Amino acid sequence: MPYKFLENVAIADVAFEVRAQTINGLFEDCARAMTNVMIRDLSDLSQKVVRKFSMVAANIENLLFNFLNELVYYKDVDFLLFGKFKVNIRKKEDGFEMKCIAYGDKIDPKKLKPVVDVKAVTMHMFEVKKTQRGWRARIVLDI
Amino acid sequence: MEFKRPIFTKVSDVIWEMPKEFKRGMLVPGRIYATEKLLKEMDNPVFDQLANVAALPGIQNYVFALGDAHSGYGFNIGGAAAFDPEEGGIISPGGVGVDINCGMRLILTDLTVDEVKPKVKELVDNLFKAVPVGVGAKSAFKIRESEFKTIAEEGAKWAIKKGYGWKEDIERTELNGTAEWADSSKISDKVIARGINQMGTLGSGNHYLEIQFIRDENIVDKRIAKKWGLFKNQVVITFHCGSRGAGHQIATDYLQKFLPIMETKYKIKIPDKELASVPFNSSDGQDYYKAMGCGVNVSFVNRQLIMHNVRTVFSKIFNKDPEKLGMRQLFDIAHNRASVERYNIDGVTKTLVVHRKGATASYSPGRKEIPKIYRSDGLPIIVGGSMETGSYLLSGGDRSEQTFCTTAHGAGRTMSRTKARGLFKGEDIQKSMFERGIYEKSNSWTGLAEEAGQAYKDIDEVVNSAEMAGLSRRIVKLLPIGGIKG
Repeated sequence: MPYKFLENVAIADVAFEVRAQTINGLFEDCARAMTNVMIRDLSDLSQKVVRKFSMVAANIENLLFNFLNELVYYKDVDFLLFGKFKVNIRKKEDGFEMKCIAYGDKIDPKKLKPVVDVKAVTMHMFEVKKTQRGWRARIVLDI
Repeated sequence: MEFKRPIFTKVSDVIWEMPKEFKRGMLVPGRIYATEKLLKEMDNPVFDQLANVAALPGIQNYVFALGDAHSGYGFNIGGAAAFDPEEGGIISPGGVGVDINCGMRLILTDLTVDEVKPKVKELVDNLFKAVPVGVGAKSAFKIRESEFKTIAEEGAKWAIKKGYGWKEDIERTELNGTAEWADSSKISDKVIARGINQMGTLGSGNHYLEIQFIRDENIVDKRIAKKWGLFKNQVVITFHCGSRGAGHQIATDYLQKFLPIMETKYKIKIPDKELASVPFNSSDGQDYYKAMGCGVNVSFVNRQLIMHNVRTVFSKIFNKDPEKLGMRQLFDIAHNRASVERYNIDGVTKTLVVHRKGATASYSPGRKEIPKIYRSDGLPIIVGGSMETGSYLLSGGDRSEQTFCTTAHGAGRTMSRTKARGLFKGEDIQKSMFERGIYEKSNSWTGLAEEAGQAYKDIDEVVNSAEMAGLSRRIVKLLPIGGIKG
């Protein structure tokens, strides 16, 4: 698993750390980890619904924060969860641009094994870092 | 990351002082209201987070942690801090919490445990259908976008006008069910879009709805219990939830708004982005306060709609009007809010912005924040325990002004969700609870495992430590016989 849940951070909430070789992969795995906080098995989620969206941000941290928040928004407004992502991030003069294609389905508690709902992505210990082997991110979600 | 533990000075058996020297930048010391055992159980990041809050501009007297404290994000859970706007005092979305006005409501009944026990499965199954829970829970109430703005400004008054409650519910709700300062022009379209889908839903995590009863030996203050309509073997309903997606989006919007301006515009430096704060008396601070008011109102309406459905379910199962079942609301109280209150600091009366995050107001008898019907007794306080162990109804203590009228809000976790998930199984917990006479229904086995009673502190010790310090007094303890969780 490219992400691991952290035991002793913000104990009423959920924290996880993601490592990936590329920045695109990091974003994709962060999104999958967040969906995995809400349902036990990502393979239960079909890919019937395809949503394309893009966003820009001044730095990579804000881009990831906004990206995950957008997915929380789709969950609450359109009742959609996504389990597969194709992310493409481009450096621009004044920041970063991300294009994403997300594959998922409407939330059906009978088909999925729900865990807990995500209220929000927090900025607590939020980190996106370039490492020798690739990229690392740490996220704390409010539950 | 390693966090150090302070060297505490013992003030009393239940008050421990954390010195200002514990961390650079602290403007005031910390005070922890807990027994020695509870203090030992607290995870080290709590103290680091307390120290961070103690460094925010305008803080008064002490930064506080209650017996149920544990680490959170930005501000710890189970904590309170008051800031003076005249001294640059701040308001912070992270000090209120994402789930604005998350809180507890208690509904009385005239039913006894002997009358309810045979029907508890039927009641719980019907409540599970009537009150949507968990990931993707959908509101059964059709609310238009334009109507949502009225909800955000009127709070519980809107619900009563629509027939989702009784007029007297309002006088039994904090703020009479309405944050009058709310301004819907300060919330985004995203707040409305997330909010309209989730009104009348419970959420998940530690949110719950329980059918509980009162054992004779658990009535601690017989005089007030009688006055408030409580009696031995009585069945009551309590539930815990907040402002749902609307409140969460308000918090996210203002966190994003404050982070880029906090240091440049207001020269406020913070070690954790979730401490994002602006002066209360700035236009940015006032915008958040008005938006937070909308979150407060949405939360009151959410609990009002849930109560409406609870009354409907009981009415159906017992084939009697809710009025004839005595289903009066006893109280509704928040544990995530910033509140403007007056206190005497060194002989001077000041208006302060009191942040309570995972902490409950505990106004002492006579304070004007208490609804008239309860004013002489102290504020009714509903403290939610774990699903396995029970909850408490307290009243505000005579000496609660020492913590800016704040007491504990729950049992408080001892271990993370991730750890609990590894140690417990939802299926085993449900079975064991059933054997002990508690019928618990959830759509998430993992969610149940995360909420295991053993993942929480001893609630008796938490409320006792608050009582020993004079912050609150026990009225009754409530034991569960059935419940629903997301």
